[in-house]
Amino acid sequence: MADGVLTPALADAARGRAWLRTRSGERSELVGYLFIAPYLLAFVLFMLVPAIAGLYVSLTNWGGLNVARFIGLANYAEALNSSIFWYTVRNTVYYTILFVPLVSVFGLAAAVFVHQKFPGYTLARAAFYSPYVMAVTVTGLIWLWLLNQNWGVVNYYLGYVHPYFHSFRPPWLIDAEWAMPSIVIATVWWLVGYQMVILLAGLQDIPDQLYEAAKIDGGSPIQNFWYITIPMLRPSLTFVLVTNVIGSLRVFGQMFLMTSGGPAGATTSVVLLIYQSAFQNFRLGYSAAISYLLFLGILAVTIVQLRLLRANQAV
Amino acid sequence: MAAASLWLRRPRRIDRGKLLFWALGMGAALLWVVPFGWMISTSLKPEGQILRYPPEWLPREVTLESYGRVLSFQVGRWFWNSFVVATVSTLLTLMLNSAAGYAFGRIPFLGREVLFVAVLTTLMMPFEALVIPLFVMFSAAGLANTYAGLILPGLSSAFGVFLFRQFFLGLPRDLEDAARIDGCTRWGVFWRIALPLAQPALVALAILHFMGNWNNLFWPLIVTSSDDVKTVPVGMIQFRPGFGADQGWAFGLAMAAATIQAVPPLIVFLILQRQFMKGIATVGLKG
Repeated sequence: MADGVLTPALADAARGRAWLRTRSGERSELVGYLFIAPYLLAFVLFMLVPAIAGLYVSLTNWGGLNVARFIGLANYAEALNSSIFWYTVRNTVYYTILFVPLVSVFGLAAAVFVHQKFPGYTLARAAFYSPYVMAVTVTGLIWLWLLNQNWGVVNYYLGYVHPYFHSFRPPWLIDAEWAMPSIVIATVWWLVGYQMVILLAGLQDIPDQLYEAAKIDGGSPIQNFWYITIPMLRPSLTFVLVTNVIGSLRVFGQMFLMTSGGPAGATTSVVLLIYQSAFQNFRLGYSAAISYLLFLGILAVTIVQLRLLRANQAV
Repeated sequence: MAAASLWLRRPRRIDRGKLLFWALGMGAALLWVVPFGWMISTSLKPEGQILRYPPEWLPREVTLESYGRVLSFQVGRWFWNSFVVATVSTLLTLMLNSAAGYAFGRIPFLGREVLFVAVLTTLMMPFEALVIPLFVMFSAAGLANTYAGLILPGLSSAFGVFLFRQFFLGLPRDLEDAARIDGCTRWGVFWRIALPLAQPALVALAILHFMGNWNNLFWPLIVTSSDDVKTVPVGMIQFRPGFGADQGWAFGLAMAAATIQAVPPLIVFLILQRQFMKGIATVGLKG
């Protein structure tokens, strides 16, 4: 009887020892705190403290040099009433809507292609992936040159694609209408390898038996793709979709480097506005407020996305 | 006879659709590397041959003029800075994250679940939301334009902790329990048994973290202004060609800068190709 009915804590007491115990009844070990202490220190100092400090800064009119004055929600009100802020929201959403479907389709196509293990597939895989190992600055510099209106190779070869482009050279990065698609093209080139590798891992997890069974039933490759590959790939596709949307809402480097947010603000993303407000206009409070709005936006979009995808999955 | 019948066996039929798919895929792959070729070619051209219509794919004479111009900046210093920052940051992250991940996965202590959930929720916190207060803190502490300033904020990421916890939870317990019974301390078990077993996770995270730090632009751009601490991507920004300034030398300069920046990661990637892709695939996330 003895031990069985005693709670672990009572058993300790009976033995003359008093350990702290976790809820599952295991002895709490002090050494656990030592293991997490170094990380926790970094976490508190560089995550928790700035998160709270940022919230405070966003409620002040601080500019870096002046004495910060508490101004309540004025920064938030200003942002929400500012056409510039909403323009950057529109730009960011526009970028996301263009970029995410494109990169997902290209990434899926590349993954399916590489998965076939045709001759030369390792070379193709390396080719698609290689831009991704480099910094955004490489992509930016290369595409500034490729997409140059007068001297870029893209415009030259477009002339071969359609005679229309002999007389009309697209003003890629220098026209408000064309600038965002240009950035999207460069970014698809840069990041497609990442999607490819994630989706490739998903493809490799699909059991071969499914395809063999389909073969017996006389399924065509296209049927296989729609009725086996896509449904089985759903977790990977979901992952790619969610991470891409979050990443797109945080877009910064390409715009900063390739267009500086122009022409006429047409490629200023929310994060670029945060950067400009803080480090060019020295309005730290206002900038912090926008960064919190961005955080809330990302949070909301992610929750909605996961809900939708989950609901979709349940059906 | 036998040989003849082998020869006469129907030729391997090549599926038309497959051939088309292959051609399309390889064509796209070729298209993907063409920008690199054009980058290198432009970087080696003499100033007068850069702006040509129709474009000329190969330099008529190879010149290192553009490279000379780029290298008159502190490029070597930027590379050294990137190397130090990425290396130190990666090592620290591996240490902090593996220890914390191990404790969260294996060592029972009071408040463990609460702490873990607190850490986990910050995975959703975009770095951009922390950047203003971090900049203010680091400037006030005199850490702007220092290696510490570049390295420290990255250490708070919860991602590696989460990864290592998952990994350690997946390891069989028996080995560790046996060592414990033999009188091994928690630290001994972690250091001698669990960590060596975690090598795949360590390698994957190391590659991703090093690459992420090497390529990072946003925070280094904010926290550095002096050449002494600038990292490669920050330094390279100044080589972008000016708007509307269609000058041959500007593009030569930009392409030489891009090449200098592209080659080292490209070489490392080609050598460690499998680890790169496996790392991304197992670890996922980070973009």
